[in-house]
Amino acid sequence: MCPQPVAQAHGLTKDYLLAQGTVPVLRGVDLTVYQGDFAAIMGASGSGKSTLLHILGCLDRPTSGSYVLDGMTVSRLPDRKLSGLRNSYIGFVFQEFNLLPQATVYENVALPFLYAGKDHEQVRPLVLRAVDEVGLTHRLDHKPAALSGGERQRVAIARAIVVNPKLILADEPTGNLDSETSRDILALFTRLHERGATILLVTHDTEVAEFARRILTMGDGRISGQS
Amino acid sequence: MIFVFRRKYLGGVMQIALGSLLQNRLRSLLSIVGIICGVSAVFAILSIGEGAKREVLAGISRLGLDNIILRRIHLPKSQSLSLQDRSVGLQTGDVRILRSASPAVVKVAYLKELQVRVSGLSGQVTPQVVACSASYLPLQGLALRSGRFILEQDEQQKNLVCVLGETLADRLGQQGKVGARLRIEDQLFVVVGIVRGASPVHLKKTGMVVGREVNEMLFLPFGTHLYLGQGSEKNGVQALDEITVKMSDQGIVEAILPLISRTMELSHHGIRDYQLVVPRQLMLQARKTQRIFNLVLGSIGGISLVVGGIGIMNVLLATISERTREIGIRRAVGATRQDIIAQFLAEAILLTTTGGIFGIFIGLVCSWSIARFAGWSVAITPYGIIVPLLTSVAVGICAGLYPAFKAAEMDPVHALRSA
Repeated sequence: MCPQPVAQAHGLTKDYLLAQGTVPVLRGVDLTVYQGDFAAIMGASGSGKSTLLHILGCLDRPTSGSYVLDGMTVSRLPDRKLSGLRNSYIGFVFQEFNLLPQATVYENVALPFLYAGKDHEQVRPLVLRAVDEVGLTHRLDHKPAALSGGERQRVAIARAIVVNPKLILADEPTGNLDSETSRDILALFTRLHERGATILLVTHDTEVAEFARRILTMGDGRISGQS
Repeated sequence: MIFVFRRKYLGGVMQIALGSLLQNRLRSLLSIVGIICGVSAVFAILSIGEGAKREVLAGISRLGLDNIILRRIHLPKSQSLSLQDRSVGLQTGDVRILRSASPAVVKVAYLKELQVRVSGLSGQVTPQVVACSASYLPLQGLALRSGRFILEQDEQQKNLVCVLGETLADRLGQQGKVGARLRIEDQLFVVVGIVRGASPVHLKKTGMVVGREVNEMLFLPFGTHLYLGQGSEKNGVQALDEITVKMSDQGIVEAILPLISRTMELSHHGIRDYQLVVPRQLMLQARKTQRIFNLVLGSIGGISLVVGGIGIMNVLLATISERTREIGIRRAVGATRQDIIAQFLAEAILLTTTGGIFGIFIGLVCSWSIARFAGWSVAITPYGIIVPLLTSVAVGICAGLYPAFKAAEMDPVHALRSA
């Protein structure tokens, strides 16, 4: 059976309007991410890979082109709808972890449910399962400041998978970690992929990209190669 | 923009807001000082204003809201001599005229103030002695503690009896009992009753009430003052200091007033040697004055609230700059613009409401202290608590709206990239 496409981008462009003039960052990106895919986008700094990730994650809008997420054309949806998609369709993992410093591990992982309006009784088992998945059950009541870099990234991954999203987007997920911890985190991504998660990660590191099943190369605002 | 708050969502937002505020306890506390001052000032002003209003209104009510009171004006001697062939001031003839002025007049009482010496009292006690008609008691709403009041036959027969105010009776000791004899000037009067007036202690404090200190008065039957060398009778007419006209209903006082005024004007040949006091009008005026007083002072307190609100807005704007990344994180996991607005509004409302609660508490302490040490009358009403509290919530909403919208308008990508 042919895998279903989760995210399809056609001719995506993105221009930034600066005082000095218009700066084109994406110049017509065509990309399809299939269900159960584990893809890595590689490229040099400034190649537009993070911008592409933000558009695929509904955090930003393209200047032109179309983007279809799970069968829905989302490039022109209103802000409220995009927030809803980010909440239930997308899981983000950032280089900077991006956890709330005042919240505990449990509260950070449960954060998407606050905006989904779910009951505490429904949320608790889902949060516990996600935290267990990343092996941090013993750190449930700790705040991010009390965790190591690797543990913080695990919390971020738990927050990304807790809603069982259609697509997990990771932007340089090992950029702030040492090589051993990076391998642990990538092994975690591999395990999630084996269990059926669709993952698209962005990196400039070849070793990291090699963990993915396919590698897309970006250059000059376009997908320039695939392996 | 429509906010749909689910109960659990609201609880979650409030919990986050509380957590954020507790992160910076000192800053949060300092930011609400202005609100605390404003709310406590508004609360204290409303409490003092309400206390003063009640006191004044109670005093005016004691004069009888269905009464019209005429008081003698002491004209300068030169003027009174030249006018005495036209008018001799208030006198018993006016009582007869007023009784028949309108069917709405149900009773008329009158009195004359006397300057006499009462034996058995220390020099410090100087009772106000009056010779009054038998109808004085019901018209002033006085109650008898013991014995009886002056009767019409006492007035007609000029019986040497007297009635004491409660405080005066207590000061006189044995002489202040019913049945005792009291020497006034060179006459012996028999005490036949003791009257009790309404709580005069509170009335004295404002100094605004035009009533008499009933509990320190000594009442004699009208006419007996002639035995004490006070006043004289010319052609069956005696001078008076006060006439009280009771109407059948307080609603018709304003309607009858022009008639009474015109009748007196004719009787006194246009000479204003008397003053018309209308308790009902005094009360309406006092209410109006009190409203203006509350409005002016409340506005001054309100300025503190506005300043406090600006302080809160300033703190929230600074907070938003510091929490840009947090806003980005929340937007990334699915928070809508409305969610961000709700969160920052919740923080602002939580801050000002906490300030409001502290302010009410401090206002209570201030009001109690003012009542205790300055002796002012203070009244705490639900209105006095609800108004400043709701105002503080409103200030929170106003102060929080701009920062909340500013936070909500942030670009999520830009917010996530902030340091």
